[in-house]
Amino acid sequence: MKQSLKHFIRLVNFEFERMYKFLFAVMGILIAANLAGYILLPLEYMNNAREIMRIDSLTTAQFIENNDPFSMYPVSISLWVLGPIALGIIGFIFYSVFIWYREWFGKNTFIYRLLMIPVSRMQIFFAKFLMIVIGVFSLLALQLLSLWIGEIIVSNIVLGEFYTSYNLPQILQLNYIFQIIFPSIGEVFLGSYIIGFVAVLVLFTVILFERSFRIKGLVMGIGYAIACLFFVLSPNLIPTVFKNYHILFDSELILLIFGFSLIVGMISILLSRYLLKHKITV
Amino acid sequence: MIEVKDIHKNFGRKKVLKGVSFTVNKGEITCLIGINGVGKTTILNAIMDLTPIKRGEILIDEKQHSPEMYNQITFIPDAAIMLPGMTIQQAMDFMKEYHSVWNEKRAKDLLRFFKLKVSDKIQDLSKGNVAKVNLLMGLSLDVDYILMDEPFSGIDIFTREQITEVFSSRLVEDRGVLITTHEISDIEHLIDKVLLLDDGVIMKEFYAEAMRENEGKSVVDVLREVYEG
Repeated sequence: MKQSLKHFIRLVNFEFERMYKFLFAVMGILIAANLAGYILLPLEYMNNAREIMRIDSLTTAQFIENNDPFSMYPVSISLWVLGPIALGIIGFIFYSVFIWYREWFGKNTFIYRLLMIPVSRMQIFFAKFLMIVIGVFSLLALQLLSLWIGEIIVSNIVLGEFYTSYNLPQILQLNYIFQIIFPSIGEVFLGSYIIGFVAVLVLFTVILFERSFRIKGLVMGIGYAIACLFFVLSPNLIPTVFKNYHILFDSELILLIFGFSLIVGMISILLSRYLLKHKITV
Repeated sequence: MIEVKDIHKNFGRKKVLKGVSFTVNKGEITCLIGINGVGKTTILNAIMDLTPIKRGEILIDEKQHSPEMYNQITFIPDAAIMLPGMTIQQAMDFMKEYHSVWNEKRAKDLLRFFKLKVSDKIQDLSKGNVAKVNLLMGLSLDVDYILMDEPFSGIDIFTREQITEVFSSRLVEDRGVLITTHEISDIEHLIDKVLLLDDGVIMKEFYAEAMRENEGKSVVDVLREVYEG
């Protein structure tokens, strides 16, 4: 058991060494874009404000009366902040596919060596999965830190009377995207990310189906993914089926979806285990 | 002993293996010979549990495959299977980390014998040096069985001589070796058992020395008889 854990940690470390360039590149883009937004947008606001006040001969109070003060809101909905988030999401969906296919289609067929390591093949599976989890949470943590720093930068560029200050929890409520990726309720946060990571497990299973049975496997995998999606969303049909729209509270519906997601996650792990053990081919 | 019992394998509708059975004994070099595309590599992959078989059974010392078996049997392929960006040292470290049977002293001896530099990256190696690195990785494991796929394919005469020297050395003594090749002349004198694979089955199985002594035929003579009628 101890040896097995040691091997797993080595595999995770090995996968991290292969991922860090990608992760750091996305992080770099996030920091650079966010910083640009934290500096350029307030400067632009202040330039506009000075220009309007000069042309219209307005005092600061008169300007504020007719115009919204600056805050983190326009920054939070700008491309400087939402762009890197979109890039991170697309990047990690791409990486979840790439993390497997590179073993077969890289310059050398590394899958030979990987499958011949004297450890359970599920350790390889979980090491890759953990990489996605680590990557996603690293980016989330960096985005939080960036927003906190952003508030400090912006408040130092915009003069006090032109600025409405928000603390970090308030910033996270400013737009819909933040409410999705940083839910303020712990249970919702946990549930959302469980569903997200179960989707990664399903994607891994689809890839292993394809790598085991090629074209037939791809069709089977897509069928499996559609079945999973239907199953997870099926609690939404309960009110329609029973022709009673008050049969479930919203919280009960969400709980059912989380529960069904966990079942899909377990089935995906078991299927992946079977495919890696009995069907995978180099 | 490796026991391959009545294995069948299809690629799509094409039946590649139609009931292949043979054994590989410790202390013997067994050579699997067949024309290209006949399924030699598939057999090696199946023994290593790198591809599933449709039917049949493969046992290693009477046991079915498990992850621990990779400390008992190793596969030396004909192409690079380490990450291209790795140096030879990093590749050796990788093997050492996961294989409890890694023999560091032997690895260093082979490194010297093959005149390889630990700082060289896998992606910069010639075909011959890739073959040497593969041999180094495989032979540095204290395993009971070694499978080798076309070790002489596309490499120069000097590298061939080095590899042949390895075959005749103590490095493979006491181990069961299964090798696929069609460059039989280089190692004919080293082979114990020959398996001729054709049309999905083992067409002929014989001991090379017995064939020479009893029938006065070399392995190549038998090959000609079988394949050229």
